Amino acid sequence: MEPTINLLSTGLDGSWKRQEALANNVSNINTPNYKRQDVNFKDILKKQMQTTKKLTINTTKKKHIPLSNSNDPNFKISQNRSIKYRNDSNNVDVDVEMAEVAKNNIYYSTLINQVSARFNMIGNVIRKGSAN
Amino acid sequence: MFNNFDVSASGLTAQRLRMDVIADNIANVNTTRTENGEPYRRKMPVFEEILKREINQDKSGGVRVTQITEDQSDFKMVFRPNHPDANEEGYISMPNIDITTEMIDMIDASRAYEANVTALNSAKDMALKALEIGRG
Repeated sequence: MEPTINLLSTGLDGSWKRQEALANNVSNINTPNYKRQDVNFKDILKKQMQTTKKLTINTTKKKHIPLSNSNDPNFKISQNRSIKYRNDSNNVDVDVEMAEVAKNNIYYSTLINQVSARFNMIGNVIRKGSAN
Repeated sequence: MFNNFDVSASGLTAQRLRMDVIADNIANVNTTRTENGEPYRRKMPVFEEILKREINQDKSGGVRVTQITEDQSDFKMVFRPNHPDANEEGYISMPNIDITTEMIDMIDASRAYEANVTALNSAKDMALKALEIGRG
């Protein structure tokens, strides 16, 4: 499909995954030895942006390797083991998590608006610009 | 897709259980008789992270309470010679509960519960927003 929508949907997936990691941090706020998790999906997005800019390759024979557009990004959950400021070795700060949840929510909404705008654009072209 | 909600829900369950345990402690602050003959011992929930095995990596699955342990610290000795459970010197052992600690734990549990609700609402907003793609 359209590369922009592909890219946006990767961003949406990443943001959703990140929300999961943040929810896990919040739910484990009283778990001893728990370390804060996060998803760094922006690197994957950057990588995908570079690959989508490239030209596509036609595969005429079976053994040709297609240029992968990294349709299946694997978002890795990383743990932050560096900070420690509580006696029970848990490093979740509820204020930081709430701020990140809010940020991530807005980021997700922005991407959704972008996707919708893209689809509207395509719709406009299909309808040749007329109202219906 | 809905793992997000389950993670927050597990947090809510855990904090609610913690609140129940705290309420139990506060209710039994003067209990000198239990089944095993001792005064009531302070109870504490033990939290543990849930890990779900997946193909690539361990996936985060929220939190659960593995057990409710008893605080093994000493009982408080109170001089009350007329009490039926008093020893020869007139002292009775009272539960090892500090009401201030319980109150602080209660506020902590309540705030943690609210934080989980916020995370859950945020995920819900995101999911509802995603349904708006292509509308209008």
